[in-house]
Amino acid sequence: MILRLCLSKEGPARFISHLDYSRAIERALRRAQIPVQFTEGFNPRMKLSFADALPVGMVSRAEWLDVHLKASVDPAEAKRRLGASLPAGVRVLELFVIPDNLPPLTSLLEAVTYEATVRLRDCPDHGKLIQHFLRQEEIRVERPSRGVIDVKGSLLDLRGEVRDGKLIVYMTTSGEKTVRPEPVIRALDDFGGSWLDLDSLRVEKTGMVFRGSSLTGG
Amino acid sequence: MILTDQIEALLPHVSTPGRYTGGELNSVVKRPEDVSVRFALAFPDVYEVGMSHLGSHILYKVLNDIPDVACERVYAPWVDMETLMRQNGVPLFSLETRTPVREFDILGFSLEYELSYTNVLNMLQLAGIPLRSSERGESDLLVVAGGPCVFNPEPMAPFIDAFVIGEAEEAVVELVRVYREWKGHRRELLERLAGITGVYVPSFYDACYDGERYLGLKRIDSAVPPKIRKRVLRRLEGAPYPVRPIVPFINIVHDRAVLELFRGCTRGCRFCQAGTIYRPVRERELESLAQMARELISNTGYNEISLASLSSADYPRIQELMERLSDELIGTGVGLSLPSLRVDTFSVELAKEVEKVRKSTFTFAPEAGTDRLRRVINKGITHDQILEACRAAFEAGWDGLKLYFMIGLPTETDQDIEGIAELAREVKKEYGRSGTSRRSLKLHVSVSNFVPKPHTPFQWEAQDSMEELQRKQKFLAKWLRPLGVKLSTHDVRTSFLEAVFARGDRRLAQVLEKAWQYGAHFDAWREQLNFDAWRRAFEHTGIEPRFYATRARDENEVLPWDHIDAGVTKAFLWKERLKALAAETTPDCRFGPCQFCGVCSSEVYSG
Ligand code: SF4
Repeated sequence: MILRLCLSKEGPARFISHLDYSRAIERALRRAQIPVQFTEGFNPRMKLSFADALPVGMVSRAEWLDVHLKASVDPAEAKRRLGASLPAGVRVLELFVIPDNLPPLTSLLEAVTYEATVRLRDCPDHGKLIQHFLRQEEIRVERPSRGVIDVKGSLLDLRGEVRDGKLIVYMTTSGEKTVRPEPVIRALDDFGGSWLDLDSLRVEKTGMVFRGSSLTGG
Repeated sequence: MILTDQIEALLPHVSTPGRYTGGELNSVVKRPEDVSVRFALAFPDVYEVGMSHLGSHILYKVLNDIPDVACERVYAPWVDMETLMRQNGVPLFSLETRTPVREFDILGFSLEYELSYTNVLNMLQLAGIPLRSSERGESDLLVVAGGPCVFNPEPMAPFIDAFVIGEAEEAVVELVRVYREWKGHRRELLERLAGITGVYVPSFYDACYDGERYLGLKRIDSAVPPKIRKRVLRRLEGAPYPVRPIVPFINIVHDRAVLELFRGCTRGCRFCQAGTIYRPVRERELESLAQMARELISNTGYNEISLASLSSADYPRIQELMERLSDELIGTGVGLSLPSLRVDTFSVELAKEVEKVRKSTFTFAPEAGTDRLRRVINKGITHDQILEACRAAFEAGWDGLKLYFMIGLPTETDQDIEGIAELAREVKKEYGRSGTSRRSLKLHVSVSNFVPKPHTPFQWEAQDSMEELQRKQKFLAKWLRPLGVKLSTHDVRTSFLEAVFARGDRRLAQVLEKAWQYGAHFDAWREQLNFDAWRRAFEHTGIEPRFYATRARDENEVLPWDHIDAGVTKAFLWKERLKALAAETTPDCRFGPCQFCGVCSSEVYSG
């Protein structure tokens, strides 16, 4: 039996690495006494497969993973028990049984959606600015210590909205190439001439889109 | 900005932010308004080290089990975080409620290692608390300390208001009770604390000197005891144990559940301080251990449970215990581990049982290179027994072996050091003979430098000079190189400082303070050790460190820890020292007759 789960990563848990996060999930599964399958070999590990690895510091309400079980469970009961065993900052948002023959999540990943919030320094016409930003021939962004790339092809959607002196950006990036929102927001800030207070930038991963279905979590 | 936001703003800019978040599973958060005493339990090193310390988990439980007490954790911020905290005016804070430490009632430090002393000073300053006890006023919190280092509290005496000597499970409850009932002046609090058995309030004693010589302490208040008796639990069975320990988010040094089988060790290794200060041996019953193991796993979800003690294989029903646990854990993916094994075939048998699949590295600690020197330190295993144990490990499938030794031991000659290389050579041969050479043997020799410790038969001995230790390290490397053995050694400067402070007196407090002002902290971290700061601090204060480290004491010298009664008599230690010099061994009282070390008949134990 395979369980497909969507978990959150927020509060204190947002400051841990993906490896620590996955270990915390393993421990919670053990506390919840969910009969997880182990890998063969010298160092048996629980059979979990995550769709993606989140960078340290980012909040998420869409951490999708598959958990392979060695015995069947009642999903509602598993959800309740796991929910009671997870540490602060991790909640079960979705949990359901999937057929055994589905391809792994990573190969199904089509797109990731994010929500970025940042305080405004200036108030230009943000709608127009974003339009121009997207219409560039190339959208060059600088990734920390990994050089400049053009994200034109992988930036599927970007919209902005202003509320209480803050710009809220809804962004969808392609699942094929990992594009993180921060460098894009930085480029957008640059493009408009430092109109955003980047120190206040908060990014949240809000959903993942998989081929054949749309799983947005929440 | 409120403190919690200030802290979160710093976290994206530091390495391992998970050190500072709190909120881990099983951490206990109480509302300040619901409690009457707030206790900050501090560890003067980073989170990963402090969270691996069993004693802190025990005290955390004991204190939080008291309904009107809140105990919260505090660790030393790593240098990157410290810099940001100073730049942004963020004071030292607790993890549970992110409260500035100075708002607590009591701040308690665990002193596990002499080289963490400068971190204590640094943390006091980051918290905004006056460094010296004498500078603290009515509005300042109470600063206490415990742990193995406080068996010679003197170098830290001016900075600590009260020390708890020995096992703190009961004493800390009494301490909190006294605090809760106290109203009035700070001095009255200190007087009442001094009335608790095992509590040492250093400001009630003056240290006397004659030139360089230390003459002892003089009480300035006749109500305080001339000697402070260590605290010992009469029974370990039934004593509180953290079966619901905090499970960290991040990877820590010992990231597993810990089951304490027994406390104390009477093997009597003459260099070992733990072997005296935790006497006598007290065990938990097998049934209780099995139950505790079950609870530990279901409360934490750890995939490993470590059967910890000073020498775990000495637990009388160890085999039965392990069988019970393995049976219960089969199929859960939870493994057992056995740290600190003896050098014998029995230990290999035990390890074989727990490490069914993983054949990593086997670890033995022969400690010295020749039979003679092993008799001196009362580690009575012979060359042949060591080889036999190694053979058993090879036959069981291990291809990696790590051997621990010490250099600079009393009476050591170059022959003893050659003996280490000789042993390594024989071990390699043994591997070849065992007919198991599937691959090749990975042999690792790890050598530490002997540091004479208080309350041991070697407390009177001189440490080798740094030059001599370095020469011995090179000498050993020369012998081991042609054998293709990996050698790791310890920094001689670290061992020197450790020796100075382990047997130091109160005068060393000025050195600590100066060295810290010159930038020393995290001295136990090789890349952080700022030896120049220490050299300048000794020069500035005119204190000669070699007086403490490399000088032998005679029988009649008053020792700076003579007022601390660990239960084991000085006469017994001296007798053991003489036997050491004659290379005579003393048997373990656990499996034979009493050797009259004094602890069982002393008031320490029988009350
Ligand atoms: S008094 Fe005797 S039995 Fe007790 S710890 Fe000492 S040597 Fe062992």
